[in-house]
Amino acid sequence: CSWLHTPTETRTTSAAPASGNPFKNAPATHKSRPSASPAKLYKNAEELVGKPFRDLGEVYGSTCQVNLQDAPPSISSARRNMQLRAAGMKGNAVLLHQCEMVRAVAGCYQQAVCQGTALSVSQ
Amino acid sequence: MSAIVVVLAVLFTCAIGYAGYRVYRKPRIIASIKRVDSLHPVPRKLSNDERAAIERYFQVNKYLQQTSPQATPLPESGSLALTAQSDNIYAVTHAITRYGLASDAPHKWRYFLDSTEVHLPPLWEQYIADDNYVELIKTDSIPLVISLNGHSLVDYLYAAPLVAPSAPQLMPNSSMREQENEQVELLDIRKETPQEHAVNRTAGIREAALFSLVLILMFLSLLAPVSVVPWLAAAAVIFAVWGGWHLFRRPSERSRQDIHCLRGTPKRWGLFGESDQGRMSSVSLGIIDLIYPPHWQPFIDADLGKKTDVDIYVNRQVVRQGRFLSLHHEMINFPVQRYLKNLILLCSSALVLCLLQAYVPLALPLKLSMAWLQGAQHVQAIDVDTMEKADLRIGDALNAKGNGMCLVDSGPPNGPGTPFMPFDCSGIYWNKAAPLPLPDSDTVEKAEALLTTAKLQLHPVQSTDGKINPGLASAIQKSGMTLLDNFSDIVLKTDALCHDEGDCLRLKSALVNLANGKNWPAIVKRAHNGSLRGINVLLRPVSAANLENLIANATSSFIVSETRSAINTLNSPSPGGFLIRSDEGNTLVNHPQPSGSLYDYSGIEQWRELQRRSSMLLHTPFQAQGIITHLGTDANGTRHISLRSEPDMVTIWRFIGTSLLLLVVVVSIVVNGVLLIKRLRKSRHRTRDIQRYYESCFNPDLPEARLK
Repeated sequence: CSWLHTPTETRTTSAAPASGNPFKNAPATHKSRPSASPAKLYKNAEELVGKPFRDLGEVYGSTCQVNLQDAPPSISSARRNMQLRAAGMKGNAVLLHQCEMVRAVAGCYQQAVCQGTALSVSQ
Repeated sequence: MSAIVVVLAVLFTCAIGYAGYRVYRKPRIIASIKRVDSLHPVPRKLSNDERAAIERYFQVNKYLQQTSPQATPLPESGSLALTAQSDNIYAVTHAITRYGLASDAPHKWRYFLDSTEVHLPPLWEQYIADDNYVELIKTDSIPLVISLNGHSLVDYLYAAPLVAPSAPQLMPNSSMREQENEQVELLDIRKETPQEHAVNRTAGIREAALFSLVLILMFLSLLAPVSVVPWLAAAAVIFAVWGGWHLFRRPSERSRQDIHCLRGTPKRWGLFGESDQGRMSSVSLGIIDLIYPPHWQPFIDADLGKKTDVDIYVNRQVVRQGRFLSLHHEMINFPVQRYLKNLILLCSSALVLCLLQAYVPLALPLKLSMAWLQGAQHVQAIDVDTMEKADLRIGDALNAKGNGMCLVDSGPPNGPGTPFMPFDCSGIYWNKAAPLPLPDSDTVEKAEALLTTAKLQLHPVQSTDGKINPGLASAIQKSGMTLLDNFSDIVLKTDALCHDEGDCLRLKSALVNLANGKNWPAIVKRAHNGSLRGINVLLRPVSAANLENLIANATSSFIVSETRSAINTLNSPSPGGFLIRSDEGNTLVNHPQPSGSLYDYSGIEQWRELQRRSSMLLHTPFQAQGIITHLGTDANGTRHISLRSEPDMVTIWRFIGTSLLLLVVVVSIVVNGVLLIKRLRKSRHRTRDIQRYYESCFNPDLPEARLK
């Protein structure tokens, strides 16, 4: 039952949801393990000026509200999840593209999803 | 410039024409009337009665001549008759002098107002006073007195008897001046000889000015538009004929003045004459004060007090006296040296020569005129061999057609460009060698590569070209930033182009900054070892533009220098063969002319345009047609042929005209220079020679002066 009733539990989805992917045409993301320290978040491409970087690919983070009674999913958690994943992709930065609340996702009453690009910025 | 010359010339010609017109139209007063000093036209015209009376008097006088010798003799030149100018009445207050002709017949008198002979009706002798108020009119010969001291010709016929009195009654109170004690005989009235006429003739300045004007008009006709040339040429011919006629014509009978041959005893009155001529005018013959030429002064005394024949003009100037003094013989043995006209012609010829030098290209007309005199040939050539066999000479007409290479103008880029810069297709190398290869350069290729990669990254054709994920691409696109998705390639290509340390410093430092590198060698090393591969660099639009400029400047400096050296390389034609050039710079090929100069293009377009033009003009069909004006051979063994397009008839005539004018001007300078010097020298000691001649005449023991 705890498995069912972990309201704020953020179930990280290791991979993009198979069906009903909110970001159409998004390539399959890398299999990565969440890392201990999250990648640095860049909200705007302009912040990357003067910082040569490598593109490690797209990365997502999401939190799921299993059922109506549970607490609504949090965007920040989804974002943090994305940062962790970027770090897991050996990226030291992630450029946030967008976050949004999604419904009608299998297994989730409501889901907060964030999408971005994992980057490896030269120091 | 030539427009100014034409305008000035037309103004100058009109001014001279107007001046000539004014001189010609000066009222032609008969010489004899002009000498009566106090003469002035009375403000009234001849009335009908007076005209009728004058006509009637002429008839009566003519009738009396036939029936009675007593009628007043008519002047030598025939009967009196009214003229168009007879309407003007001239009035004078003057003494009347009467000469008796050398015969005993009465009425053979001639009447003079000062030195002007007038016709005085015979019956009025009785009314002559010391000072007489006389009204006279012009006739076709000598003036006619129509009124004397109040007696008018209108009353003359009605009062006088038809038959003139048998002998003139000398009224006691008549104070007509009779020759006091010595009879001055008027032996004859003759015309002056051509030599005597020449003494007073003008120095030919007007004719010299006319010929100068002719030279200037001929010069102007070489520059004037075609439509004006006939007028200038016609004016020149007219002035030349008129000047020549005036200069060389013999004096006409009318223009030769009357000379009165007198015989009498010249006396010196010991007084200084009223006029300022000092002792010269104190010699008189009877009551005539004689005026001598200044250089006769030492010899006049020999004839004083002796019966001497003296020839004088009506203005009392002596032309001959005694046995020796004679202007006629002077002019024969010691002619007057009129050098002014030579001076004028010399100056005008020199002026025209300078104008020719300044405004008219002389070399070509002279060269072609000489060539045409020696006979020119027509040469048709469609290959180099035919050209080499032809014996080409200046002045020949050449028509060459074939394939050749345009001349390369390696002049400075900002110099006067030719349409096909750097090629100058007004000159064609025509030889049997293989065409030169197209321009090629590694450096340009490297520059082109750098430009290409920069262009692809700074101005990507599609937003996502697969190097970055679409989400990142669209995020970058939304942010307006510019992404260099192959930064390593830019570094590598920059290194390839700017290999020397001192090359492209600003570009290198910019790339170091973008890569957050330590220095240029370091990032080059990373680029070479692959550690820069996949690195993306994000740029603000301004930075992207700056980077693009840096790359453009870096590459263009290489391209320009490569272009220059390629042009220099092209400017090394094969030895031998021919270089045919158009004097006027006409293009000898038939290609459409490019819109701009090569140097209007920048960067890689300049190189490409050079290659395009080279491919078109290194081996191009051409046609060259014209008259050969110059032949030569350079150190490379290439024969240079300069062609001028076949001159049209007007140009040919201008060439010939230029040569002729130059010849005339040079001859005129030489001839007039020599004559000027000769005449100057002779005129300097003419008077001394004449006096030496007279001394030898008057003193027979002196050495005889050499005469002609």
